[in-house]
Amino acid sequence: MKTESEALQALRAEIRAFLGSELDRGLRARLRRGEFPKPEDLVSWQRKLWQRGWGAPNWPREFGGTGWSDIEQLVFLEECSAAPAPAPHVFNITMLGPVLIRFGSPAQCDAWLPKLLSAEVLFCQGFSEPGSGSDLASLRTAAVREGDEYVVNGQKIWTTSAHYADWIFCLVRTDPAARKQQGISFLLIDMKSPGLTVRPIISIDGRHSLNEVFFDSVRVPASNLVGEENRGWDYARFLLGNERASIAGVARTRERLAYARELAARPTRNGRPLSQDAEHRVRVMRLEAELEALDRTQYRLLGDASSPAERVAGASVLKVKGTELYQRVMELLVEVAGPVGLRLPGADGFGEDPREPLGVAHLYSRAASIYGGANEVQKNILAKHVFDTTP
Amino acid sequence: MTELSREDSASLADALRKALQDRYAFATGRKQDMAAGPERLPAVWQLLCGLGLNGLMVPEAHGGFGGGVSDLQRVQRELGRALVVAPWFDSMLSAQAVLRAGTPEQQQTLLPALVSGKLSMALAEDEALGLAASRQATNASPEGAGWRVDGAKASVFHVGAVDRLLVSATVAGGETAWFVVPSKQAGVRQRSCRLVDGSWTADLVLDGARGELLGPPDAAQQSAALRSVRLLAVAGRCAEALGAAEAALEMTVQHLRTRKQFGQPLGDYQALRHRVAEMYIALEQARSAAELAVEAVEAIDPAEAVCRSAQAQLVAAEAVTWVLQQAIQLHGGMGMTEELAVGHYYRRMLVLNALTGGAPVALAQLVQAKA
Repeated sequence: MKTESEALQALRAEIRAFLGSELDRGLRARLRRGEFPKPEDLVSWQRKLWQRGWGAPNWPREFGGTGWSDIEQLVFLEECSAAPAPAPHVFNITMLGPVLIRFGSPAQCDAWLPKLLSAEVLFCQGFSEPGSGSDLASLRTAAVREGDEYVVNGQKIWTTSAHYADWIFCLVRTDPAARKQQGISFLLIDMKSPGLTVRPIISIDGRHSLNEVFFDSVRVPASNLVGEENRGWDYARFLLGNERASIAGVARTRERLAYARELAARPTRNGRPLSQDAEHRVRVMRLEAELEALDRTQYRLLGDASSPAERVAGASVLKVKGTELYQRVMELLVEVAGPVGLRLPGADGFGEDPREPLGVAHLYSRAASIYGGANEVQKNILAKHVFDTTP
Repeated sequence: MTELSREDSASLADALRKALQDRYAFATGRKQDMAAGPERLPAVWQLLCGLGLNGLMVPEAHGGFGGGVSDLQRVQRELGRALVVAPWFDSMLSAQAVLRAGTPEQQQTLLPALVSGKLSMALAEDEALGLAASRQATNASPEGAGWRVDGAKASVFHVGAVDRLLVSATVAGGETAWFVVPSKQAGVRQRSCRLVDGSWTADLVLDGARGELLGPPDAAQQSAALRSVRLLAVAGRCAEALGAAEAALEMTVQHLRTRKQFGQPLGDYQALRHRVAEMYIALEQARSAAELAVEAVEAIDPAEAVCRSAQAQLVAAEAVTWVLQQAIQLHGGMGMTEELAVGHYYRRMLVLNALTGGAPVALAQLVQAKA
């Protein structure tokens, strides 16, 4: 049974009070409508979190983090999602920081961690390639050592925010002869490097958040290698495993469902609010029940009682079920909004009607079952786990 | 209702498919068309006019082909496949409204112009819903020799480009009637927005708009006409959705054949093969939904018509929406790009669902009909 300790309740209250006083109202309204945060929103919010001491909920204290447990981190993310507020910067804080702390040199930690915390630099993630999606380890972007530099040639794709990021952490192939997982290294590359170009990808929602990144003989100081050469695959797996606390997105989906409920209380084309429609109510109740169950699944799998293998499998459970529920709620929102919710933004953005961005947000939500390991791949992982562990 | 011979109908659909492939390819002709603003009819409109499609369901006496609902579906399937954005369907439904509700004089003036494509029309049916505001009615009252229409309409398609609007409005006594309203006049104000499928819509404010009552003031005839146009609209939209789903399944299979991961084509993975099989099953259901929609149009009993039409909408909306979601999923990241057509089928389907109310509205109709 899920009970929250007094300490956790106190933390939750403290976080909620902070969000209440510090979160910019305009930003909150835009996120509630379903818009993306702007780059400057992410920077200023990360700074506020950092100044409060909460810049890195998932880092140990000695590196400037909060030292919170998985459950405390989850409480923090729940409150951010419910507000809704942006999470701490995903590439700087959730992904790169822990890799540097665990595998980076002391000099790299000293140089980078403060800048990641304060959002002085923004990183993006260079993993996927045109030929390497689900089969990430087949990646081909090559880094060849020349003296104290690597020369990088190749291409990354689906790179979120590459068009404004300052740096990119990349998986590159440093040993073409090795077995595919074993010749990969983890490299930090300055986006301003000569030979590096970024091309936008307009996604299905008509917006620009994704990019292709091309490397044409980009020279990277060898000191930007994280950890050991040819061990990058291990670091990448470690990084992806760290997304556990946010992967189910229960709080985000709850917030979207609450918003759907708010919109459904308004009158529709036949004059009666959708919230009075029996079929609509049944759907909302079903979603609420499934979300409550997923919430308990998440707490159980993140708790101390589960084994390491259960935790790995659990991440796949949370990813699949979490994205399915999220997409169902985003579908409900688009239905509640009607044609007004299917507008594209004009030259000066969306109009006044808060329902307008819901369609593009819904379209973008279709990516949730594709990115971060497609749900089909998650099911392969799960099937293996079930067969391996069932007596 | 008459219809074309099987051969004529098939050759019309073939000619249409070929013309659209040549001049409205996704990455070229269609893309150019999409760059046009809300005030102009898209180039594809001329192409459809050139094929004589505006007269598809207009009797030969008025210069049309005298086709039926099956012919309409063949055309709509092609338009769905090619992702056509044009006021063709609205103009076609308007012609049917004129045919069913108009006076002989109105038929003689409006139908030949609609058939030739000289006249384009859009339907303004739904009432505008201001946020949190209660429903805003559209009312019409006699003024001088004609009528004045006041009110608001939400999300009317192609308003900026078409010549006339067919506006439903309430008259004294509470009955609904249709009015032919010139779109460019001081009494019609609009703000155009583009929807995710690329079509232009506008919220209309009608403020003393001049209009002409469609047909003699005969409430029974008007409401019968309204019902039959709605049944036709569902039949046409089911077919459009079907055409989109068929094309998306083809693209998905081609992608799975060529895309390799872990050293083999994606199409070799049983999980994905089963998904394709499920998509095919859903597609067969969508085909049958289109048939149900034809039965609705042809039904003699009005209650049966409503029931079949709602069943058609329910099955088509759920089956096609799911097929199109899976088409994106199986394309992986590429399915999420604006560059590929596959996502645009889904974008169009969202708009079709919003227009008709999709599965929830169909279910509500069925619950009401069977109560």
